[in-house]
Amino acid sequence: MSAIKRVAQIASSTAGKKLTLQEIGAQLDSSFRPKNAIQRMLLGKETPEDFKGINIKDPRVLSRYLSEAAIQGPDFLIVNSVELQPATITVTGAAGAIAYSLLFRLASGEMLGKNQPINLRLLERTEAMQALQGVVMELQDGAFPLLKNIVVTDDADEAFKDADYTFLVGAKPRSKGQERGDMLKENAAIFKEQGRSIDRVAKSSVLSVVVGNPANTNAMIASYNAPNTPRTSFTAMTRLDHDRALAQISKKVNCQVEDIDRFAIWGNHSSTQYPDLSHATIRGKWAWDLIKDEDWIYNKFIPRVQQRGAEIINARGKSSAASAADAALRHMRDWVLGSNKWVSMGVCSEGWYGITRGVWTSVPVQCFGDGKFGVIRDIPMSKESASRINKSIDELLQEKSMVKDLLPNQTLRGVEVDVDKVYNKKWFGLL
Amino acid sequence: MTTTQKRIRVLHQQLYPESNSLNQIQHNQTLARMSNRKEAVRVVVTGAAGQISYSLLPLIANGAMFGPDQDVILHLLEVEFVLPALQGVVMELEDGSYPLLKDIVATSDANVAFKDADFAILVGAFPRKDGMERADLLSKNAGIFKVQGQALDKVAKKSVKVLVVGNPANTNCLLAQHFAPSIPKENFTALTRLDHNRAKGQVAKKLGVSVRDVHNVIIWGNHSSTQYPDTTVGHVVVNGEKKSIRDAVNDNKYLEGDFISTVQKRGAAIIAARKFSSAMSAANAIVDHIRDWVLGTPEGEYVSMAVPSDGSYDIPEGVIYSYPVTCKNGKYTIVQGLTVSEFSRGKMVATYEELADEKKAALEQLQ
Repeated sequence: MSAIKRVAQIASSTAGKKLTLQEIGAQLDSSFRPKNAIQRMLLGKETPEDFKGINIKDPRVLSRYLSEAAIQGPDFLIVNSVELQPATITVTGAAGAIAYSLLFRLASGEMLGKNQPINLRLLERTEAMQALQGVVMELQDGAFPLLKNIVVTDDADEAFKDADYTFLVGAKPRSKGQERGDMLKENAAIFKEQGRSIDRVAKSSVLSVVVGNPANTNAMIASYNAPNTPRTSFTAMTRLDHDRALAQISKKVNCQVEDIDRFAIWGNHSSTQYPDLSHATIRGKWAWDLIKDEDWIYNKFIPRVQQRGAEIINARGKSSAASAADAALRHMRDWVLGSNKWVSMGVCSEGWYGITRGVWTSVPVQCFGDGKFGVIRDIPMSKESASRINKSIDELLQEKSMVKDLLPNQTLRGVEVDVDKVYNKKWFGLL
Repeated sequence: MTTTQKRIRVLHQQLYPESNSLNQIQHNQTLARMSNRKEAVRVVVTGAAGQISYSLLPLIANGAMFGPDQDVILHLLEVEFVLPALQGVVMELEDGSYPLLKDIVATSDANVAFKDADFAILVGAFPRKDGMERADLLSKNAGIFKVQGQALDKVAKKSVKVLVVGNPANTNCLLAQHFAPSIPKENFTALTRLDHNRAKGQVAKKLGVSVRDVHNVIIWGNHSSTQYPDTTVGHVVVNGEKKSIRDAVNDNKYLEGDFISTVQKRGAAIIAARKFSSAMSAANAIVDHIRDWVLGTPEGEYVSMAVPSDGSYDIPEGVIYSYPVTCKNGKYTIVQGLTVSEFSRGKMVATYEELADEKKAALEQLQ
């Protein structure tokens, strides 16, 4: 009898008494009689007769293997034996420090699992191609069994060809004395080209993480220039700030990082970000109550997370590459494989919480796997939280206005019209 | 998970088969294994603010070295004037919020760093500067590894496993072992896994196969330009059939000429291209070396480790020499009985003689 039928049977036989799921489960367990050798092995009730005729060295190994298979479900036995189709991963800025920490961990199978082969496509500026050759030599020296193919190029269309996952790490940092607006425009040019390439040649299911700063604005520019790719395919990485904040909380409360859930980073990946503890839980209890120290939260914790990047540059002399690569890997892994906890991702605003549509802002999301995620909605917001988030959104809107001319007209997304054929040129701003 | 939860989970998967991709299940497997943790091991890394350590420390902290169910405590040793940079590295490790990383100790005092160590990875060594004589290099390093060997002898666990990476790796390992007489000799090893991986990569490139199909390449001798990458006993799987590397490549002149010099000079080639020495592939090789030592090598697979010579293959005792080994239950065993051609013999003796010279010069420096 199938499990569903037996649950129904138990429920009906105890009609009138309300049984909890645990009690039903307990009755299922006690009423289950193993009928064949495999079922006996799964329950640990196997006898030597069950192994007659099977040519194996140690019967206990087989029964333990089958028990684990039962826990994991029917796909367990397939996971370890089948080799999947290679996944194509493109990394830009591939000769840089963050990519150096990232590429080897991608090749070792940390992101997608030990049975997922990978093809790497590396994009760099022409000037850095020789250094990139050195990185490729090191990847070969790593003797990674999962790394099938490496393609090195300075052409965006070649790099993004048939990509499944892309890490847009390369960006132009602000040079000395440069205005913020000019820096934004330079990056807009880079990400406009990359967004168009992704739209043209990458797979339609491509997932792109933008790491190069200013991450949120760059993600927006890339997505605006990729009209045939869903807005949800481009996210900005704020996972680094999320992880940094979790580390600070775990130090303060002296708990494990895995015990912290429902933490959120809101806003721009800059010093206006808002690390939000108001809904965070530690082992199920409210973190705010466990910490009890509002002064620490507002005057130590929040500024520390906001300025951690500068703190590390002052100590190390270089910016944080290893932790950024780590965060990028986790961001993409949770996006692809799913996660049970809230994570922070910079996604396109659809208007929730009154946030202006069309900017890329960091919000708490739940990842369901395969690129699907759901933004956590209807969180009760305090005035304090709302004002801090607004400050960050204002900065994002300001950044958007600085690059407004480089964003294609949204009403014409995906449609190219000859200028002569436009009827009302004045309405479209062409006169 | 209780049995009921397991049953309901199986039911859910049968009802909604598309909700779990194959990789998602493996991800959940890893998460499940992580909740059954063993007691934390203490891993010491010297030269912890350097390039190799920057690539290595995240790999130790995220479970690549010991598996996803082994907690680690990191002890980081550096020279005093680099301690601020080391603080930056500690901050980044904290930011990584690694579930397996239980504690970090950052210090410039060897006796604090090596206390109760289970594993010691000695990456830090004095680099060769322009115009430096070999004698000076050996004397500077002799000083460093004497202090570290003595600290190991005094405060580390007697079961500590030591991997020396800082060059000249074999001789530095010999010095450390010389000053730690209470720790079993066989616990001291030096890194030649990087050369082993490089050799595998070159064979795979030459034949156009994946690296996972290349087996049992061997590195003999010193981790220097006299190392001997040996392909005589290796085999490769091409189009489903198993062939010896010699037969598959069919070019003994290449295998005894250019192949050897490419592997020997790979480090310099990478510096020429990157302008920095190879950090990430070295870190990867360190992780491979220790993981195979602790968790064992697959059946029939040889890896290369530089270990105290014990007379195997007529190499006299008293140096740290790279051999083909297999690992099981936390111990390595030198593979015995492999045929050694005359050509191989000449190469193996040449690299032994360099090691004997280095040993003599190092012991003179100590006088």
